[in-house]
Amino acid sequence: MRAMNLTFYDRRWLIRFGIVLSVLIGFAVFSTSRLPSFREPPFDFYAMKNKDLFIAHGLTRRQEGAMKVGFAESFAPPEIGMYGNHSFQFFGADAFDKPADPSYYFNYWYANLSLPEIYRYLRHMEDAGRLPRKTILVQITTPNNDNGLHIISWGHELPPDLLFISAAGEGFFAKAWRLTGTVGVLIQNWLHEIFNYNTFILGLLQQGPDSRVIDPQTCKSPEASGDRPAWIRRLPLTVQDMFNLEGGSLFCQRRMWWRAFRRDGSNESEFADETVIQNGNALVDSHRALKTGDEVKIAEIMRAINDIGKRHGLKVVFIVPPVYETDRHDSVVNEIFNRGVALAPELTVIDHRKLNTDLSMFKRYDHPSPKYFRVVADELRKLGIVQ
Amino acid sequence: MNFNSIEFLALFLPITFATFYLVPLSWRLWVLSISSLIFYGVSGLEVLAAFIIAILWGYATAFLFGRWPRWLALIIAISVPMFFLIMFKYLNFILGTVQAGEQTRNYFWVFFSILLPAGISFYTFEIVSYSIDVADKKIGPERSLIRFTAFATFFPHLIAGPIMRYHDLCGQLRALQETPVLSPRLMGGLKLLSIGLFGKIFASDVCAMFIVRADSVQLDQLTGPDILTKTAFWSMQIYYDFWAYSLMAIGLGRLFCIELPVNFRQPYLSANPREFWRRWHVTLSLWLRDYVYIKMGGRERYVRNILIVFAACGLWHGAGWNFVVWGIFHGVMVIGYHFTAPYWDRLPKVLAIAVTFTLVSFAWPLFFLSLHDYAAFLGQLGHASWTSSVYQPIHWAYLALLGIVTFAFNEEKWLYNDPEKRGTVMDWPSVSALMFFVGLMFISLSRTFIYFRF
Repeated sequence: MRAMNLTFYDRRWLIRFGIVLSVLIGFAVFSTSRLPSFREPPFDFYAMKNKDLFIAHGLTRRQEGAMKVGFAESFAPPEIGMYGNHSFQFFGADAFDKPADPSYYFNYWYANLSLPEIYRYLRHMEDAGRLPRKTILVQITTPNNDNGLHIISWGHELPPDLLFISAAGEGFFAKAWRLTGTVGVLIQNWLHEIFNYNTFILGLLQQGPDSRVIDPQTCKSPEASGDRPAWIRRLPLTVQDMFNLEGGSLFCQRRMWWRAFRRDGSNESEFADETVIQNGNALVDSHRALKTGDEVKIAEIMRAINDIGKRHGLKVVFIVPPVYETDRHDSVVNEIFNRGVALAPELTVIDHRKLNTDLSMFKRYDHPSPKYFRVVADELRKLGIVQ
Repeated sequence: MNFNSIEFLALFLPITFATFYLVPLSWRLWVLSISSLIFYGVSGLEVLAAFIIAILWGYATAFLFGRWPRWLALIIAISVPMFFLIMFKYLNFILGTVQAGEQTRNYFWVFFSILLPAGISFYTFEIVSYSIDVADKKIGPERSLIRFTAFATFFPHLIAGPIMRYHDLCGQLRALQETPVLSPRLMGGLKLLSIGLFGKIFASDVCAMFIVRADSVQLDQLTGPDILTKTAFWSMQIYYDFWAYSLMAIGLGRLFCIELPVNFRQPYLSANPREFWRRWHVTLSLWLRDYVYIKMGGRERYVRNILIVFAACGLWHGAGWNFVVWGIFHGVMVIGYHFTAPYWDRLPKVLAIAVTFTLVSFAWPLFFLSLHDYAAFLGQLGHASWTSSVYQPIHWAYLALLGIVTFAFNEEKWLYNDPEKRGTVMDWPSVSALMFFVGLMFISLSRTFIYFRF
C-alpha cells in the first residue's frame, strides 16, 4: 500500500505470517467444504424401520435442517406436515396413535424457524409439488419464550436458496433491503462455520448419513458392556468419539441418541436429558423482538401461509404452544401477538399459551412433552382436521 | 462488538485496516472515527446516540473555558457525560439504595429500557479528563472536531481502556493527518493481537469454564479446596481477561500507528498493595490520582482521601455495594501498607509477592458475588471438609501452569522485547499465525471481556 512503509524485517515477517495464516485458513475452508450436505443426495426416511433412529449427534445445525429439506424435495409428502422449530421436536406420529410413517405424518422442524421462513419453506415445497396432501400444521414460537423472537424475525438458518424466495407483494426496496441483510447474515454464518473447531474436525472425519441409522433394540452399546479400560473412560468424550475408542458402533451409545430423528422427523423425548425449570427470559423492553405495529406483519405472514394451503385445498392450522412459566399473559409481546392474531380471525389458531403452569406438559420449559402433543392431536380431531 | 468475535477479526478489522491505508491522508481520521462508531453502534442505536451527544458536548463546551467562570464552565462541561454515566450505570443502584418504589422507577423507564452501554465508564472518564485539563489550562480546546472524535472513539481503547488523556493522543492523531507514508509496527501489533486472542480463550475463558463447574454444586457442598481453587480461578480469569484485552488493544493500536500505553504490568508480581495499583489498570490509577486524589489534597488527609479514591474506584467498576466494598478493601490494604511499609518491605520478595497476591485474590470474588454471597462463600471455608469434591488434579495442574506463566516469565523479555535484537520463539511469524488461527477456531467458546461491562 502506498501509504505504508515497512522495514525489511517487518515486511519479511508479515509475508511469512500471511503465508502461514493463509495456509491454515485454506485448510479450514477445505475441511468445511468437505462436510456432507445431507440435502443432496437426499436421505430417505421411508427406508428406516418404524423404531429406527437416525443419529444426528455431530451434525451441524445446517446439516440437520438440510437433511429434512432434501427429504421433502425428493420423496412423497405426508398427509400431515408439521412446520416449526425445536419447540415441536417431540411432536411425533405417536400423538395421533400412529406408527412413525412419513406417508401419514412428518415433522419438518428446523432450528429457529420463524413465520417468514416457514412461508418460504412452504413456497419452495409448493414449487416442487411436495406440499403435504391434507393438512399443514404451523407452530408459532410462543411470544414469551424468547421475548417475541422467532415469530417474524428471521433465524437465517434455512439453505440460502430458500431464504432468497420473495414474498407475494414484496416491493423492490423492501426486497433489496431484505436480500442485502440476508447476504450479510449468510456471510456471517459461513465465517462462523469455517472458524469453528467442531466443523473443522467434522469436515475431516464425517461420513454420509447411512451409517447413522440404528435400531435401538438390537444395537449393542459398548457403554453397557462395562469392559472399557479405565484410561479410555477418563478421556474427554470428544476424544473418545473422535477416535471411536470405545469400540463397537459409535452410534449405539445411548448418549448419542439425544436429538436422534425418528422415522417421522420428530425426536424421541425418552432420550432427551432435559429438566424443567421456568422460562427465565426477563422480557425486558430493550431486548423485545416485537414492537407495536408488528401485529400487522404477523397477520400478513399468517395469511400468506394460509393462502398457500388454500391454493391447494389444504387445511392450515397454526399452533401456539405454552412455555413453562408463571402467568405473564399480559406481557407486551403477548399483547402484540394477540392483536396480530385478532387481525386475521378467519385463520384456524390453536392457542395453548394458558397451559403454562402444567408441569406434565413439558420436557423442558420450551419443549412440550409427548403428553402435550396428545392434547394437540385431540384438539385437531375435535376440529375435524384429523381422524 | 467484541475483539474476540469473528465479525470483528474477520470482517471489521481487515476492512477498516485496508480502508485506512487506502484513503488519502486527510480522510484517515474520518475512517477511524466512522469505523469506531460502527464498532460501538453495533450494541444499539440508543447507546450510540448517547455516546455521540457526550462527544459533541465535550468538544463544544471546551470553548466555554476562558469566557465563563471556570467552575461554571466545568460543571456544564462534565454535566452531560456524567449525567449519562449516572443514569445508565448507577440509577438502579441509587434507587435500590434509597428503596424507591415501583412508581418512582417508572419515571425512569427510558433509562431502564436501555442496557448498560459498553465502556461508558471509560469514555466518560476520557471526556471528563479532557474538560478538566482544558479548565486547568494544561491543554487548549481542540478546534478539530474530527481529531477530538477520533480521540474519544478510537476503537482499540474505546470499550475497556486504556483511559487516554487528550495530550497523549492528539500528537499521534495529528501525525496520522500529516504523514503521507506511515510506518506502522505491524509485526509487534499482530504478535500482541495473536497472543492476546489466544490468552483470552485458553487462559481466561478456560478458567471461566472451570469456575462454572463449581457453580453447578450447592455452596454448602463445596469443600475447602474447592473454595480456594475457585478463588484462584477467579483470580486468574480476571487477570488473563484484562491482560489479553490490554495486549489486543495495544496490538490493534499499532496496526493504525497509534501507540497505546501499557495498562497492565504483570500486577501479580507486585510486592505490596500500592505497587499493585501501579501495575494493574495503570491508566485508571493515574486518572484517579490526578483528578480525585490530588484535587482533594493528596497526602494532606491521606487516610480519608485514599478511602474515597478507592471507594470511587470500586464504584467505577460496578454499581453495587460489592464493588464499593471491593474498592474500600483495596484502600484499606494500601493504607495498611502505608503505615507498615518499613516492616512490609523487609519481607523476602517472594513472600511479599505471595502475600499481596493472596490478599488481592481474596477480594476478586466481590466482582462476581453480592456481599451476602461473598460472606457465605468465604464462610464456607470454616465449615467445609478438606477433600475436594469439584476439582481434580487436572484443574490444579492447569492452575500451576498459569502460575508459572504469570510469575516466572518477565514480559519485557518475550512480549515487549525488540525482536530484531532479542527475538524469542514468540516472535516467529508462524507462532503468531498459529495462535491467531487457533484462537479463531475456538472463538465460539469465548466470552465477553469482563472489563467490557464497566
